[in-house]
Amino acid sequence: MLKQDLLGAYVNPIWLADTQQALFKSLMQVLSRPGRLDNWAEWLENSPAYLAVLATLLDGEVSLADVSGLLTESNWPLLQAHKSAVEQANYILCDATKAPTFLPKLGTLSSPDFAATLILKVSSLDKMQGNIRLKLTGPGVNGETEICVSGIDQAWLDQRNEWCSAFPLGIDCILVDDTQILGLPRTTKVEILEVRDNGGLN
Amino acid sequence: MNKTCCKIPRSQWIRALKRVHVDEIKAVIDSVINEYDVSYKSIPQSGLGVLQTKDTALHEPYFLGEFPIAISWVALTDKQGNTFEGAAQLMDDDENLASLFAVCDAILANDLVACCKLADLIEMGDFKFEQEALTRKAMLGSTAVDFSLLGATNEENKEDTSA
Repeated sequence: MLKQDLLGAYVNPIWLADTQQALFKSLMQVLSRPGRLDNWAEWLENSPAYLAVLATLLDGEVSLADVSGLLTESNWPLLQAHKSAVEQANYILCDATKAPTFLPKLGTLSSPDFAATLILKVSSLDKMQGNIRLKLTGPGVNGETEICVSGIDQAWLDQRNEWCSAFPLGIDCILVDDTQILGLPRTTKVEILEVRDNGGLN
Repeated sequence: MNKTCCKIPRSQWIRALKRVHVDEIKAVIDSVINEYDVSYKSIPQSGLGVLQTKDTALHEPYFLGEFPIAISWVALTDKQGNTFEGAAQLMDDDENLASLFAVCDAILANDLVACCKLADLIEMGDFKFEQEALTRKAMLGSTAVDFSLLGATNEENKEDTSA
């Protein structure tokens, strides 16, 4: 890479165009196929997955609200997005262990695309094991599929269903754990099948 | 304001550096860059910018057109852990050149090693800029039209017609 040749500077791959193109393709896949889990471990090095999602989606034209303070000050100039109040933000980053206390932008009937996209950091995403077992149905799902999520306050799921109850208004969610991502677009119907205390580990 | 050995104001450093051969700047930077860890505060980028202005008749905004722009913001960290920042924004399509100039900016603004060598290059570039400015001014002066004579000619024509 020329930047490294010239100054010897190290740049994390999540900030490079080639990586971001691959991650964007992956994001499109998980949002088109709700319930699909993509693992980004090979791209991340030491970066958290939520930072890679933000690096891929954000630029200087959009706003971001970091509700739980997951980002460091040095991340902001790299992301280029401007800080915003959560009610007006295009993108919202949250720690999902804490229940939501805000109303994101849901879009308008003429411009539903003006809605916010939520990036929720959870403890783990898995097909079999987790605190909350979800059933997903809707466009992009062949019949129905199940997914288990740990480290998410149940209020998020209830609130998300309420926000998405008047289609085309609603929000799109991207759930991330340390390395995996899961897309929950507003068209997906999410049903809580089971809430376990031990995370499904027997 | 940081202490620096460069007499030229900071706002004119990039303009002056653009008039110096890149290899000369690179040679200076190469000789000192190993003293520092370089990191990017924001990702160097190049692209097209648009400049908006107002027309003088209706005072409505319009875009003059696109121009190339490259930006870079770097941090140099020395062996003692001290960090020095520099940035550059220039009309060019090469973000690596912007990064090189950003390093120059950091060195000059913080009076680091090789500051004086870079200051010499900047003075040389500034001198070239002044020369170019004089040449342009002379060219512009040679194409100037004196419209005051036009009014006098019209009045003479009117007098001729009435006579």
